[in-house]
Amino acid sequence: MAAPAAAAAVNGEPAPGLGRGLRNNLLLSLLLVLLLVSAWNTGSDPLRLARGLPNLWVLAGEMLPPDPALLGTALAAMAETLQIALLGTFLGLLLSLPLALLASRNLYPRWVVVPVRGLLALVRTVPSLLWAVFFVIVVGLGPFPGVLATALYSLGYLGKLHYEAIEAMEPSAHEALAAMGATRLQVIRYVVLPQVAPHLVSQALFMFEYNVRASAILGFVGAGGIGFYIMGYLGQLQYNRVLTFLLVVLAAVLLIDWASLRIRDRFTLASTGSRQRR
Amino acid sequence: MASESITPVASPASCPTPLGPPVAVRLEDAWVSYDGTPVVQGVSLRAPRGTSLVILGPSGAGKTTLLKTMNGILRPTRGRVEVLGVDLSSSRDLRGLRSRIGYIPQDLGLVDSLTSLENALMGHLPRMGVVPSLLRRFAPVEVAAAEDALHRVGLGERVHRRVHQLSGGERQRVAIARALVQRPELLLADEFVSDLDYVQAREVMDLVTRLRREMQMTLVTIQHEVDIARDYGDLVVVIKGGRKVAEVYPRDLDPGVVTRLFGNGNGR
Repeated sequence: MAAPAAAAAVNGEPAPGLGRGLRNNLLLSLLLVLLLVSAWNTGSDPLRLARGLPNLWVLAGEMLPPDPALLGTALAAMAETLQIALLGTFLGLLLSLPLALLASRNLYPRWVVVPVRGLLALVRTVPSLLWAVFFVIVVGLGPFPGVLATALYSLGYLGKLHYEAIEAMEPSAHEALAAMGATRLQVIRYVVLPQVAPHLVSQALFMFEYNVRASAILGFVGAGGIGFYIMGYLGQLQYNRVLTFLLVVLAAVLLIDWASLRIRDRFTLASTGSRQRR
Repeated sequence: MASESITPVASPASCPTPLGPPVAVRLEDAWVSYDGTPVVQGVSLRAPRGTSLVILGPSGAGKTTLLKTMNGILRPTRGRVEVLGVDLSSSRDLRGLRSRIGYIPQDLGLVDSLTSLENALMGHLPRMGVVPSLLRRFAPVEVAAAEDALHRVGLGERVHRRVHQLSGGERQRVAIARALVQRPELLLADEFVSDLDYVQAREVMDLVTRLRREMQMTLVTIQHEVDIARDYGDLVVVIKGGRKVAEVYPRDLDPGVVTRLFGNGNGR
């Protein structure tokens, strides 16, 4: 410890304080303790995993080969999942935009911002699967509660991401237009929305990608989509049929990720002249 | 910093205004504070209508604060600010007043993802109804006025270019076009040529001066460069440490005076 400190002092840099090093060591020790306690409480035992590995081969043997007869059903179910994700993301985006504007400190006063942020936080706290259970109780089984659950979950997340983007916006154009006598709505229409549009599109596409994956399990609680079949065949231990559905999910997710990246890239390039980093 | 003693080159009293009333901007013992800290301290000045007033001073002198006080973005904590005949200390209709004042901030305040024309069209917003403006229903005459403004600033070929595709000088011109579309009686511009090279800065200032004369508009600009202040101002107010330390005619802004005011012969 002394050598680097001495070297730093020779180079004219301030030697690292002992208190800071001690604090870092304490923090690292605390983190280590937390990890060990968590491993103990969750029964995370590498030996147990090693002992269970042969089961994986058994499961793989039962999953293979996938059942091609169910491909049509799997594609139709995946289409329903995509529709749940699409409609849910769209509704979430639509509802999140006005709320994000109201939650932006650079646009509205504190007495508006605080309750709207509270509402968004509340919506965000509940996972989409729990929202799905809630809406299955309210409107019954099928894809509709899935759409509602996806929309509400998207609303919470997109609302937060959008108001953060609005607040990070360069204030200059906003200030210039307000100084010319433009109304707040005009400022939103002509400055805020054009400036955050690439961000909105990008986040909405990310949300859609996420919602496709999340919607795939909404069927577990009766909220429609491909998850309904996966849950059913898992219950009947028909793993080769489960694999057919999982492969369709994998193909759809990869395709959507690829398409989404292309769209985001094109949109960002058109609106700002800079290509997104990958 | 307020206690630094620099003898005013010419006090307002000893420096009669080149043109008589009416006055576009009048500040009387104006004080402006940020979080209780006075940034502008007891500044008095007047800009007669149709003239070019240059505010000159080093960084952190309170120039931008002074400019923002002139369109009501900031309110004086003490003193009186009267702009285009409206007393800002008591007026509640600031939007109405602001629609008569053009404002170009230091970084121009353009929306980069929109075209030159779309940015210029924003000059119409203060006079438009909320619904048509939100629906982007600009009348053909308004679009023609924006296109004309872009032609007048030499951007006729760049009307449909997005602002992020333009050079620094072209962006400056878009900001000027937006202000022209607004048809302001008073234009406030904050160091808007400071990022340009010498030639470009003079081209832009020549353009603004020509347009000011054509439109009989009052111009208040903040400048860093003494040369620009000398060549384009009718009256130069020097600010240092939040106080007005001098008010001079440009011809009196000789190197000796500059050295006495800034020490290094430059506003920087």
